[in-house]
Amino acid sequence: MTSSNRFFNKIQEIKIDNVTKKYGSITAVQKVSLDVQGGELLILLGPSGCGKTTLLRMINRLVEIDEGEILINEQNVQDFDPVLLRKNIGYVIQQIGLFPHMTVKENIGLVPKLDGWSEEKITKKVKELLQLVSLPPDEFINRRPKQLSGGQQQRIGLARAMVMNSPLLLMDEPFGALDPILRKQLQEEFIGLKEKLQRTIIFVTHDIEEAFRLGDRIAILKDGKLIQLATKNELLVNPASDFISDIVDSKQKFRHLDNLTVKDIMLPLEEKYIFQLSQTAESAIKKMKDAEIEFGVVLENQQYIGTIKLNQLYANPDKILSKLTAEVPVFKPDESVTVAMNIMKNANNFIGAVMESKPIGILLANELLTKLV
Amino acid sequence: MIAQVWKNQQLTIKTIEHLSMVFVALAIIIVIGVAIGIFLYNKKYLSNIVLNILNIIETIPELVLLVILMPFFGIGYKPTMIASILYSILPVARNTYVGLIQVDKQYLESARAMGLAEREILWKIRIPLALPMIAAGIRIAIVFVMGVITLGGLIAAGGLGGPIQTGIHLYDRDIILVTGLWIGILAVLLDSIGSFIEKVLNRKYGYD
Amino acid sequence: MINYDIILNAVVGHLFLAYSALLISIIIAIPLAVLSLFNRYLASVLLVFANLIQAIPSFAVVAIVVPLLGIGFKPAIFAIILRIILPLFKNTFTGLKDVDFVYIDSARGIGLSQLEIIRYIRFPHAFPAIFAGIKFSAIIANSVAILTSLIGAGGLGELIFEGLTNFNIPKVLTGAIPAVIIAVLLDVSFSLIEKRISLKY
Repeated sequence: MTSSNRFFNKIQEIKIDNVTKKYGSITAVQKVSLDVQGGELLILLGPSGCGKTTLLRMINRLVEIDEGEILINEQNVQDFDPVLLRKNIGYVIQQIGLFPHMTVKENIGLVPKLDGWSEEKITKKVKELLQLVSLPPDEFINRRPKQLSGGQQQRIGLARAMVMNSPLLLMDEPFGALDPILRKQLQEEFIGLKEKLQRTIIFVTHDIEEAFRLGDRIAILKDGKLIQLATKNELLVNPASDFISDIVDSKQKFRHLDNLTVKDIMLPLEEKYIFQLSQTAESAIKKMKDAEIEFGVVLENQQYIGTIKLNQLYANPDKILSKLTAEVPVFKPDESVTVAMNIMKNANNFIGAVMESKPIGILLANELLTKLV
Repeated sequence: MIAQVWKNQQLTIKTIEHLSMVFVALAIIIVIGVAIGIFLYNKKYLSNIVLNILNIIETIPELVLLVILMPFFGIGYKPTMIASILYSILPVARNTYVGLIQVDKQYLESARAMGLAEREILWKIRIPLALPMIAAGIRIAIVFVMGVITLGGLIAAGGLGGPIQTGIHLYDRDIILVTGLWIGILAVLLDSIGSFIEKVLNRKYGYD
Repeated sequence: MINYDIILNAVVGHLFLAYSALLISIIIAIPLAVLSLFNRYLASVLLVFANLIQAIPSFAVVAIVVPLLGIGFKPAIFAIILRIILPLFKNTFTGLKDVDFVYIDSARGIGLSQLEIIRYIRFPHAFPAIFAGIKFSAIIANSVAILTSLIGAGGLGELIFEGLTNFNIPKVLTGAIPAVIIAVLLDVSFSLIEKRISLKY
């Protein structure tokens, strides 16, 4: 981007000062003030209708502020041309919004093209970004959105938001529309990316798990007001109100933690996740794409052999699954959650399998709980 | 029998006359119609008025429209071309307009958020995604234009309408059947070409 | 100079021609559409035909009727019916068919028979589409009726054609202007009724 168009190279601080937004008689955001520190991942968390999305969209002026101001690095967002401002900020939405009439490369490269980049520069950058989001570049660069699964589309959406190297990224429930296990996988990948990228990210979600997993700090909103802004630990230990402690369930968890069994929090094993040892990676890839998932369990004779992930399948398309499964911790339904969480935490494995006389479920590591054990 | 009619009525020349009128009219209609649609896409109030006026012209029987233009433009080529253009602009303009405004909001939102200006959004996102609808409108216009130009034969505009009128006046069954069926074949052919283009555009720019 | 009697006669003749054709077409098209719900083959054949014939200029259709049926009132009605029956069929059929599956399923669930489903669920939902089809066909019937004067069916077209042959522009207009008025009145009244109906549904 030409230097005159680059507004900020690195975010020092974003100041949201007494911001209000009204729609007729409804106040969507009411006198919200908060500071975003450069380089952090700040979560905006709250129930549907609490104003978190509206607040996010006031930062890149998709929604105009009624009262108050937003300053990025001490500059008022009102002082910038909105179109240029948005070229400086990356934005990802839940429905993704990849243009159906453009290939992956054209989608990601649209703004660079309008900015005057050469074809080679665009291709190079697109390939870099595809690598970054774990999609084999040569395979995906000319695909159309129609040919991509939900998870793949979301990754491209992320790549598109990062193409201009903007130091600020706004994300509005980006993983909301995906399969629960896929969501976990993408969150894992995203945590890895976050380290690499070193950007300031403001992330909207209504999922407490996601908030705890990804966020450095969490801002909780309700009915347009900011209730508490704190790190995860502070929220657990020092909730500002009953509303907050209900959300993080801290009282409940402390009280009943020892009584929770694996059966209480596992996901029932669905057919779409089941694969056979003798299947080829290629057929597994197809099945996963149709089901919009990127994870599977391999069974034989009603026993868990292990798990498979789409990324590894892509790397080895001609192997059969017996060579590609990773070990998975197996639990009984009546085992205590505390024990299970400990085991998974130590094995650094966020997925476990649940077995009765036959496989019955999948256990996902619950961030909140792992913090408490 | 067919060969005789063909020669007597000079159907080759008539066909060429006919088709050239159709294509010229279509070219003008597409340019003006799409331009109107693009002009109106963000002006809701004005679009209502313009589309309503065009709609009323549509309901007037084609022959009547043709005939009403005669006091101003005489007979023959001129009123026929003008009538066919007036009559057939609506499907193209309306489909262009509807296609542009019916683009799925999520694409418009992404584009805005990426920092695209309204004009860039119009040309890079709305128009490509509206192409299938525009093609559908053009396909309809093709049928309308064929109809009016055939009628033009009644007021000496040339083309295949003339031989048909002759056939009716002379009560000559052969002429009517040969010319009539020939017009039918041409019409269906043109429509299929339109349909093919529509399908191709749908595959490239359509989304389900 | 302007003979109102003649004009009135022409108008009446015209309306009679166009709207008997419309009525007959409705009576044929709707049962055909219902039948096609049961027989996919019939439906696809008719739909293909519908799209094909619609592309052919009305003038050619009217002309072709002459060698087959001669001239006069009956062939004229036939020509109009040919032109409008297929769009009527298509709109009715699509309207009946494209009812949201959810409604059909619940109707089946509470024990309605196929015929009852058609009567109580599909038809009400299809009303807007059927009505749009009728409006469309009425306008076309109006148009084609004018053309049929060419084959001796009388009506407003006759005034127009006589005027044309004699280069008598005023005479042409005595036929053309009432035609325009009828057309506009038609469109306006149909649109009003359409609005009333869509409010209801």
